[in-house]
Amino acid sequence: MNKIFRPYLTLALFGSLVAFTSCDDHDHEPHDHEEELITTVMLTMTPQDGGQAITATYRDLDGDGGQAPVYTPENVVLQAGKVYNTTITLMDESHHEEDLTAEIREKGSEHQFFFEPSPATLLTVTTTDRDSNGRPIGLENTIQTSSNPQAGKLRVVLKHQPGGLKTDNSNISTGGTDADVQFNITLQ
Amino acid sequence: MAVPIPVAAFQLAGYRQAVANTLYLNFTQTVYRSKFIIVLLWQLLLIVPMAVAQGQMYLDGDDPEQDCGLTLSGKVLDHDTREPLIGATIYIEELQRGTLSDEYGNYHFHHLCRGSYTLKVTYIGYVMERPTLRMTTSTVRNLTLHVDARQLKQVVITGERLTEEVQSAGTLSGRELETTRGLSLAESLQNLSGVSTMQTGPTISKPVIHGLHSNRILLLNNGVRHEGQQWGAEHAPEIDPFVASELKVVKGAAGVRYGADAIGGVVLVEPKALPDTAGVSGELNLLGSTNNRQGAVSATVEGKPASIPALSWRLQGTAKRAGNARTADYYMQNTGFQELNFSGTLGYKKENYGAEVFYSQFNTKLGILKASHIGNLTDLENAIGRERPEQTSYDFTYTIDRPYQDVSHHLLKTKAYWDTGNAGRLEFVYGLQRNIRQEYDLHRASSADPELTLDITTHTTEAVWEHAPVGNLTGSAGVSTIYQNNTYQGRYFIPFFRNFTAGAFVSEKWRKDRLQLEGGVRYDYKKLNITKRERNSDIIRPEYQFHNVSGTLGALYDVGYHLTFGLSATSAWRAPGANELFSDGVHHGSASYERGNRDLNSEQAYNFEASVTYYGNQRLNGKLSVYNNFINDYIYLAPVQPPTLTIRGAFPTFEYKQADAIFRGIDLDLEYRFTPQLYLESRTSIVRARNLDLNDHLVGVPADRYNNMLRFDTDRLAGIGTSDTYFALGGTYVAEQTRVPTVAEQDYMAPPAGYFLLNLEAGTTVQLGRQPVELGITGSNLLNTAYRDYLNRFRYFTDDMGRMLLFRVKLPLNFSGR
Repeated sequence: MNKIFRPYLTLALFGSLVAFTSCDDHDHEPHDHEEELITTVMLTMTPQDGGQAITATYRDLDGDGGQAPVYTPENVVLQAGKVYNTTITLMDESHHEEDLTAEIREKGSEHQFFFEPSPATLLTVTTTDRDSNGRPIGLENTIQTSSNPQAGKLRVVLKHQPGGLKTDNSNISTGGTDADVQFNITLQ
Repeated sequence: MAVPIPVAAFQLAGYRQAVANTLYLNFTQTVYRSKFIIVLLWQLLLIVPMAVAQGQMYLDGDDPEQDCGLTLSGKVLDHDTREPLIGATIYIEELQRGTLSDEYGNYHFHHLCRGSYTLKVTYIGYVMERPTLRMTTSTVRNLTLHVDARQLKQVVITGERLTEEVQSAGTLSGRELETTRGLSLAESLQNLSGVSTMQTGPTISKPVIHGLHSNRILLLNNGVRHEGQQWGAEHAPEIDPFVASELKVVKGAAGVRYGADAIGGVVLVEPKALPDTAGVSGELNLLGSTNNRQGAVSATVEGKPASIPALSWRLQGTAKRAGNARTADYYMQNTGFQELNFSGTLGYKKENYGAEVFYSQFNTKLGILKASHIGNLTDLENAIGRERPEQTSYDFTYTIDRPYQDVSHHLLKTKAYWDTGNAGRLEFVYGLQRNIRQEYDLHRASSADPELTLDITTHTTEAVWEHAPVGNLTGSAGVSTIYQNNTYQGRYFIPFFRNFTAGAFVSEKWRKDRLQLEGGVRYDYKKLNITKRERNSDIIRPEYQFHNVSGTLGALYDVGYHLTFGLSATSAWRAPGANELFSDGVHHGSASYERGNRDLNSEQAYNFEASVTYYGNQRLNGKLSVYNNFINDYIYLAPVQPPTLTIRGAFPTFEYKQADAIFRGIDLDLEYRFTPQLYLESRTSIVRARNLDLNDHLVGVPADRYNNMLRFDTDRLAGIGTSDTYFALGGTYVAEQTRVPTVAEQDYMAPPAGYFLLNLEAGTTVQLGRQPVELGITGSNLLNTAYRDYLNRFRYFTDDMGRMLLFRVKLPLNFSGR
């Protein structure tokens, strides 16, 4: 009997060794690493005619699920009938602060921001930056607020339109959504 | 070998049944004798061409070339039923001498010299055997033959009735399996009644048995339970169907013999036995298809050295490549796949003991439909609203881009057995598996690394003692263990875990006259240790323990008149999986947020089945099976409020909950022979599933499925030198699923309409010189129907596959120069 089992035991042992060289490392702890997490969307709105810049921030530090996201301020107050130079900053603040804005700008030909004010007359957003194909990205914009004081919302949507999906005709429903946040706006 | 003309096969089938029935019906001796003469005639018909082909041949006693005085004698028996086979041909190749077994199955050769001989044993409807033996003295040797499932389908049912469990099962082997070559494991099985397929686009499919799938069914690959990340709906089984010479599906809970998780059933992937005659042989399969332009090569080489007769070996490998699959109207972007698999077996077999080592590796890279990678619910709603998926190209390519999966699976199996003779047979199996799954996402990929790597290693052991029959009692007892270790890298999906399971079972079968009773019981213990990083970065290490008892009871009664009734009660259990306990995140592709439930209990299934088998008849044969599978504490995803807010908007949220559920249904297999060659094959699968706590339907249950094929088998086409020719035309109708949950919305899209697919199978064997060449074609969706299937998870995004023709060439090879 011994004779028979020797080759198979050797093989089994050899196989186990091969298979184990890298796997039973359970006591090292899991490190979650979301490759491309965006936790923070920040709008910085500077009045064109000078004055204090106003920021509006969406933050969800623990990513999807868990703690609910936070808007700061809850209500963004802008002047009616004014033009604001608006830049958007994207960050991953889950572990340490990582600015993703440059990455989006670099891959601008696959990304585009869309802005949906409600009511539609609340404000007008004009995108001023362009990607390598001369199409709008939306990290740099001007916002012209309505001259009527009122309350409303501004929805900011970042679309990922890879592999040629971004064209002159692509729109808010093209591609996959990377960010979709909605700020409360009051015009005074 | 020369195959008898089909009429013979058919009449013999009836004849063999008659023999079987003499036990019950006391056929008169006259009937017996007249049948014997018919058989003898057919056997002679078989022998004559052989004799011509061999040039010269002597029936025993005619003209012995040598006279050394030894005698070889024995009986020719059916391997399973042990019935004598009357009129079987036994031929000594070295001496070119043949004889026939008599009406008691006895055969004898006289005046043999000392030496090694190769016997060729043939019998209509049975697989030819070529045992070798060494004669030093006069020898008595019984020869057993296996039923050839390919030739005598109606007999297969009989065989099952006599030898298998009461619980229903379906088997694919021989030609039925050949016609599925080139398809995935799940697609191969979906023509069995009670079995359907759950897909994630054209590249990923999983078997569904009686409405249950994933971690509720068990896959036994070459006797080892297949362990990977099978909980995932988009994780296809990592098994190369080319390894199998038989695929068997045990339907319904089967926990006693197979252990935890066999809630819905078991799929057994069985390779061919290693060769038992000296020499080297093999086979080469070449496949090509339209639609995704798949090309595949699969080759097997096996042998047995003449110098070490105890040893035998086999090497097998498969390579596949396919590009984008096409619906009726467009190509689906990024739906190609590649596969490279190989396996090797080494066996050592003595009369009373033996051992076997098997190693297999499965590697696949499969593209995921690009349009399915969505960001949020709005994207999904946009996708549902589109006629066709949003793609930058609707053309063909072999290129696989992100998103894709790269999966490899290793299996090392060692087996040893010892036939003690009086005490029975002892078998020990150890399996080592490692499954590495890498998922590459579509989004802004900043590196070449996968976004998620899951790595699971599994050790399984099983020791089974099959005791020698005690009176009318046969049975087995055994113990088994599983040890598992799971880790991951990248984004969180399931935690690290270690799992240890141990079980012990006893299963007995009692058979007397027309009655067969069986019973069994099993106890399992499972310990699950989790290591998880919480959101606040703390590491938690919870431990779970589960104990469960499963049982089985069954009765089979043959009432005569070709009618058998079966009743069975079986059970199985399943511990909640790591995903059900701890998942926490957005599920890509389904736009939902899934949350685990850390307080889940194990679920327990009690399956009751009643069946009627009508067998061995000239025209109509079939089986009807009705089942009720009660599942206590069935774990399911229930919608909960409020939706989860994320940076991509609000996601509908689902949490794992438990409720009592029932899966009930009907499987119907029918065969009607218009003529011996022309017959209709019909299979019906109907499942109903309800959540008993909510008194509501369950989501994702297969719709009613009807499969009908008109088949024509003929050995020879007039005037052309072909054999084994077959042709089949038929279709599959899948109804619309109208039974969906109404208490709470659980789906984003109503089930698609029912559909009908026209299918075709044809094949023949031609002889090129001495080389037989088997040709085959399998066509599916011949009418190029545009449809979507309810169980395809990508039905939100795209149609299913359009017309596909799969061409096969198979070359059986013999390197021994005979």
